[in-house]
Amino acid sequence: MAFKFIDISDLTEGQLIEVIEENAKTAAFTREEIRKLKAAAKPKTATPSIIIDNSKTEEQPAVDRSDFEDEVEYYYSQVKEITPATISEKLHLCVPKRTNKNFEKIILRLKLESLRNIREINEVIREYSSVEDPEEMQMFKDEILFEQEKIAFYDQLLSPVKEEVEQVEEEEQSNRMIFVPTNGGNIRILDEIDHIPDTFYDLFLELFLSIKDGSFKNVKRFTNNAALTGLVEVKNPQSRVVFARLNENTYAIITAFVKKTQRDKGYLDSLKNKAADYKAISEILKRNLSNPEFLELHQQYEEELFRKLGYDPVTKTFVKGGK
Amino acid sequence: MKTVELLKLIRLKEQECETLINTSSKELDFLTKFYKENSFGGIDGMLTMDLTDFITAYIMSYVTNEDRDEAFTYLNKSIEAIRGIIENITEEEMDDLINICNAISRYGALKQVRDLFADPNRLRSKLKLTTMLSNKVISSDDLEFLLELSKKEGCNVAELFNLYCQVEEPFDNAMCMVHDMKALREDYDNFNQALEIYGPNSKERKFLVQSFKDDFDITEISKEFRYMRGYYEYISKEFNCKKKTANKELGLYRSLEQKIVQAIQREEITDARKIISKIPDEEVRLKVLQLVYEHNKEYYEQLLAEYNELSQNSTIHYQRLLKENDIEIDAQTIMQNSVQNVKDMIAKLKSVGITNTKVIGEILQITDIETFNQVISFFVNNTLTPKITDITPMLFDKDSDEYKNLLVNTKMLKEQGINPRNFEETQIIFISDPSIVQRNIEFLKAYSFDKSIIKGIDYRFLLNENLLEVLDLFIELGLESFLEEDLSILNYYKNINRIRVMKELNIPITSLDELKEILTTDQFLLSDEDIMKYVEQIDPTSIKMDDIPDEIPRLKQFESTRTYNINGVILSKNRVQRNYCESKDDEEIENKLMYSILHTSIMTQTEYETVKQSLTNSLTYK
Repeated sequence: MAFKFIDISDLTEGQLIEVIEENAKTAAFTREEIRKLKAAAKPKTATPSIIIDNSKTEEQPAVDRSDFEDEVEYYYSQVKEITPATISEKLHLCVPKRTNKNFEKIILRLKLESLRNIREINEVIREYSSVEDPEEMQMFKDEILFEQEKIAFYDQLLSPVKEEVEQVEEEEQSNRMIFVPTNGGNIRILDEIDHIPDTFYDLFLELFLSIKDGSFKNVKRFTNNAALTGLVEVKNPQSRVVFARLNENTYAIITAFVKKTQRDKGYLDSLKNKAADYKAISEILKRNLSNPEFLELHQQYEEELFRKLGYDPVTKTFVKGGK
Repeated sequence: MKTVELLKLIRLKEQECETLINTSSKELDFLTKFYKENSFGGIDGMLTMDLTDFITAYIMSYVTNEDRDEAFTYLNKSIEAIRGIIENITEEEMDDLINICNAISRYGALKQVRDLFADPNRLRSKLKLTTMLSNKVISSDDLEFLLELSKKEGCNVAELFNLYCQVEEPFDNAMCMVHDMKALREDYDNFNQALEIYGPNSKERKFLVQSFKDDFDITEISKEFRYMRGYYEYISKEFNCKKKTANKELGLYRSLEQKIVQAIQREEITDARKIISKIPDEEVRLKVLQLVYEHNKEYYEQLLAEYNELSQNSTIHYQRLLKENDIEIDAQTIMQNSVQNVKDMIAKLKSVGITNTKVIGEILQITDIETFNQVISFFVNNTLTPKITDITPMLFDKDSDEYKNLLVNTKMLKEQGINPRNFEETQIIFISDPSIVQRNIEFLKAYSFDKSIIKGIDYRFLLNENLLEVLDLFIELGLESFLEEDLSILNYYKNINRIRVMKELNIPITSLDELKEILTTDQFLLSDEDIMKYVEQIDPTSIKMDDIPDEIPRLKQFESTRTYNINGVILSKNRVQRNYCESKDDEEIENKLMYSILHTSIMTQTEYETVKQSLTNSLTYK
């Protein structure tokens, strides 16, 4: 429909009425079309879906520090057992080897623990300074000295000068592994390795080597269960080796397994049994540590273990077809 | 046709109607008076009728002139001129006169006779008349009669003959009827005289008079009377009808005038047919329609323009545009802007590097062209980069806080003399709360770190509501020089206590990279929750305030740009001075110097002892 815009000067009355009424119809139609167009043009409410809130990007996701903390706790628990009388003999045995990737951090943590202890002692001294008890005051001062001695040792370890010397000494030292037998007399670890898929062997090898060289990969003490007190584990994701310390450089290897879940009750019960078996013979094992034949036998067990895992400890290389 | 012209025409028509309404008809007035004053029921009327008026009334009923009043005026004047003849001559004389006139008429000399009688030169006319008429047409006695009659008052014989010329037949008939009525009157007078012997109210008289009237045949004359009366009623009716029509038309034109005035107030006149429906004048109707057409045409042209504009921006055009640009949104959500504007906006967004089609779609849905142009100018001059649209496109919405904050912040930065491009890596600054941003910039200036506001660093710390405290902390931990190098380390304030651990371990931080590593690593020596267990902090409540003299000037000797360095113990100068201002008027604070130093401090016991000793040993200042 189109409007009629024409020269009306010669139109009759009837013709003019016709034009006027036709234009009125066209106008009504046009208005309706305009209404439709406007209705179509009316924007719908739109809420943008992209609103990225970056205000909280500063918050870092929780980091799992449990492995490190377990490691620190492992060494610190050993440091705590040292007395002023045994510090010079034993302190160096309670710290990680330099090959441990967390060596520096662990030493600094041990130092922090000592500094904290000193501060707490000073606070006590301040608090009770009005109480005159010379013996008690001397005791506090001795404690402070003890911690300061530890700190001095840690500083030495952290010092770059001593590092080369200690590295040479450490290379000569290697821990000894004693393998805990089953009730039937077999070496438990050797049996267990036979039943573990060989795809896990390189993981277990890493763990055994870390025990040997004292780096104790991801070491953790068992503290939450009385049946497992004194036991320690080194771990990779899914692989565990549980052991206990017999002396400064000798460790009883109790069991090795692939761990599927933290809450595997079957695993825990099994471990408790094995822990009980170990504890039953731990004194016997300790007594035999001075027996060369005993040690020679377990050296052979160690070689067999490495052979099974496909590793040559002499050349320190992998050999294909382990078992 | 313009409204003014049409209204003028209508008013003209109104005036015509009013003229007609107010116009009287002389003929009708005369006849109305005549019929009011004279009765036509019987002989009685004939006895009393004004015979001159009768002639006028009779002849008018036969006159066919269009202009009735003109004819009446002329006729009435002529007949009045012969009133003397009509009223005063006897019946016999009337009879003679009629015969004379008929004879002259048969001779064909009416006009000549008329003219001769009209000639003021009577002697000449008399001679001529005599020559023409005497013994040929009429007798000399008759001629003498005419001549004598013409001398009398009110007896215009010329006019008499003129009437015979103009309206011969009806005039002659009227004269005959007048003659008959005169004969009747004379007979009646004579009869009445004869009845004087009877009393005026006697029965005999009445009976005889009635018998006289009954015997007089008035059939023919009554017939004429009826005709005359019928004519009068006809013209009376016609005249009244015309007046009524004129009244009605006047009302219609006035109503039309009002309707026109009201109609032109509307955008569109839709009742043209109704407006002109009762208007009698064709010209007026046509003019009204022309006006309606022209009036409506203006409105229709606007309507058409609006339709054309809208149809150009109809949904289909938007859909095509969105499809061409791979933007998957509902076209109806962006139609608040014209197609051309949307096209321009897409092009501009792409030109400044905003190419994500989802983002472009979001922007189109929320913005208008004015706001868009304002915001896009920030991209054009590199104040903003496309990164900010990944945070939120809301800054293109004029009602959003992001947009408002953008304007305030860019203005504020300019006023502060800071190049907005410095915030290239932290675009969120522009859309954040300006009060915090401005306040923190002022803090940086107060701490003389404004020169460190440079391009390329992460300025998220400007959104920290506690930046003042954080600055003090960094300074008092000895990190002043690192701040000068790179202010972005302020972003890691949450891990600042790690530096206190390093201090505790007596491990110096020698480089900015080392500092960043400590602050950012997720494998620090301690978990952040445990740090405070290993860090010493003095308990201000345990301090005896009178240990140190309360003399603020003692700090002067330790002063530097931003700090008081009291033998290795660094205090933020701004913090101390701020605390001092707070405590100045507070009477509950005994030692204002110690309060200023210790309030919100992170000092250790050892550091406190150092400060205490240094201030105690320092000289007294006044």
